[in-house]
Amino acid sequence: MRTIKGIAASAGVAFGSVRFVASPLQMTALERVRDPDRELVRLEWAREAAKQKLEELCAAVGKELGPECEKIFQIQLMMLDDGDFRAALRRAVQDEGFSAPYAVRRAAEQLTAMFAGMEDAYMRARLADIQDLGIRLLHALDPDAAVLPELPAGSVAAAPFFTPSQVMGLAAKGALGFVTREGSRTSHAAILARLLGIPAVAALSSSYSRLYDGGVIIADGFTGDVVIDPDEKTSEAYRAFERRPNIGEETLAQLRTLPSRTRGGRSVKILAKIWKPSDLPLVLESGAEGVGLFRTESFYRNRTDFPTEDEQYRIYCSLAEQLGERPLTIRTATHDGRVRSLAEEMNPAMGVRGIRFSFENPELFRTQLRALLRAAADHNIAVTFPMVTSAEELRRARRALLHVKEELKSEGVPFGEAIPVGVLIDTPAAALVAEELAREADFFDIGTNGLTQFALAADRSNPEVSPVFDFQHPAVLELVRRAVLAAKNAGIPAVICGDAAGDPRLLSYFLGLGVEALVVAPSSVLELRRAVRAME
Amino acid sequence: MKTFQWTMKDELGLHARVAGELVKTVSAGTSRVTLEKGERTADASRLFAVMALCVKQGETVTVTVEGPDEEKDCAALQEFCEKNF
Repeated sequence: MRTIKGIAASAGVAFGSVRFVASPLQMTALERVRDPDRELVRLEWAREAAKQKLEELCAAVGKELGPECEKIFQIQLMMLDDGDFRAALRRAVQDEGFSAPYAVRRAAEQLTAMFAGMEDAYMRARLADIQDLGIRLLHALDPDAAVLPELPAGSVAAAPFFTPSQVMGLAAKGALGFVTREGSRTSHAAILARLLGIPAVAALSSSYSRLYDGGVIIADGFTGDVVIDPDEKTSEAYRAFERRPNIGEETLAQLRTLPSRTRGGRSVKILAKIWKPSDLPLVLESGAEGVGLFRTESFYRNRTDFPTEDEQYRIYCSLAEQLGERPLTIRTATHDGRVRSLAEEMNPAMGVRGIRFSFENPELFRTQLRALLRAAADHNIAVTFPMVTSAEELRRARRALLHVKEELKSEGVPFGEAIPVGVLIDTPAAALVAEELAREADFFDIGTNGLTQFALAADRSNPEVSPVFDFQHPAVLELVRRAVLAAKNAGIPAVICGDAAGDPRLLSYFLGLGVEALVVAPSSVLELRRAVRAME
Repeated sequence: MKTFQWTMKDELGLHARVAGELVKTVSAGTSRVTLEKGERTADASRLFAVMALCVKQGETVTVTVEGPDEEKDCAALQEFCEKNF
């Protein structure tokens, strides 16, 4: 038995035999022809056929899996129409006399070469899209050039990478899951795998060579582990996991409309966090029950003039309207330790951040409070203050809010009188005085990233201390527990934010404490909901 | 000729889907649109060229719009950039 490590690209476990899948493009042999004009006609015909297929696919995928997914194939439609791609095809036939299939391979190789040298992993992942298009054209030229070979039952497909259509094909052919040498969580193959509910592990890199055709593996799409030739004990543990109901039965697309409820009937809200207003479509698609955290720092990035009250008001209203009845919690602007701070500081994470930043910049604070109070007049909006370390700071923030309310009242401007006021428990100090804070707050947002960073003295953005940055550390969990208990005793909701919120291993801990909601990235909502629904 | 600066805020940079939408927006107008990042330039109507520019978070691109409808096309592009990044 040997365990190799990759990236958890799509949740679930695939326990079966490795089946290597070769790219049809790489199997296309060099062939020269006498009549290039005929090959050009064949190519043009294949392009039309591929285009029609892609359009059908876009429509079908858009309906079944949502618009984000449709865009994956729309990009291929654009590539197909792109002048550079067509020119490369033409050159391969006219100048070099290649057959149509080999010209496709050649053009795909030329274009992938543009991306292969890039450092950026995301851009390198565009290789898969170009290859997909190539395979599509090959298929149009010769229907026998299948996208995928036959897969015996119980197969886990393996390849350097899979193209989007191959992933669709793997789902249709009943592959248990797939593993790849390259790729990432953001590659199109991974996005599709998550939507289709197929487990996947990506980026095995050099360990990929340890796999062998027909070998038994367990690909764990939750952790990124791939166990080769598992022993009896490991196999049994995973088999027990596989027998758990619900896992894998509901595809992510179905999960979008299902409630986040355990089998025992315990409900927990799954909310999404957003960085900037344009993230909202992701939330709407994700099936989240609202926005649990809108980090408003994006307003100040890349600009020297600050957004006006009306500008902010319009953004808040537009977000709330798109969310409808679902709640929107806005965190007042902090400045993030990872971006250049407004005033250069030695240790920005411990500097003028969060509520301190608001107190230092009373005009910005006031503008933001006015905008969000006005927007709260007829929308389901709450406000939360970050990096509060004492009850006095929270009282001071509330006084500022009260002051702005009075201002608006005297001006006759409508506003949300009863706007819920939350506090971020993202410092150990806040967790330790949580009982006092709970008396002054309407809800708690427990920021597990902040708690972990400050409790363990490990800078989140410093990769050298990332092994120390462990949100499962007992000290961190104890701070979380104290905060949730204080909220429970005061009768106010406790919401978990930060990376820990999306970790299925901590779900039972959080639910056991009685948290009301978990706030995660839009892309994690459905996986977390699946994990909740699989719980007793 | 009209130009504006545009700083990439998206975590993923100018990724494929957004590049596709940008090319679509450019193609909807009549102007010649060029993107310039450092010493490299790309014709914004060519998808592969735009993607190959590999614009990452925090990088600034100069957008140049040229043609009889440059006012209108430039406004449309600026709106696109505001909305998407």
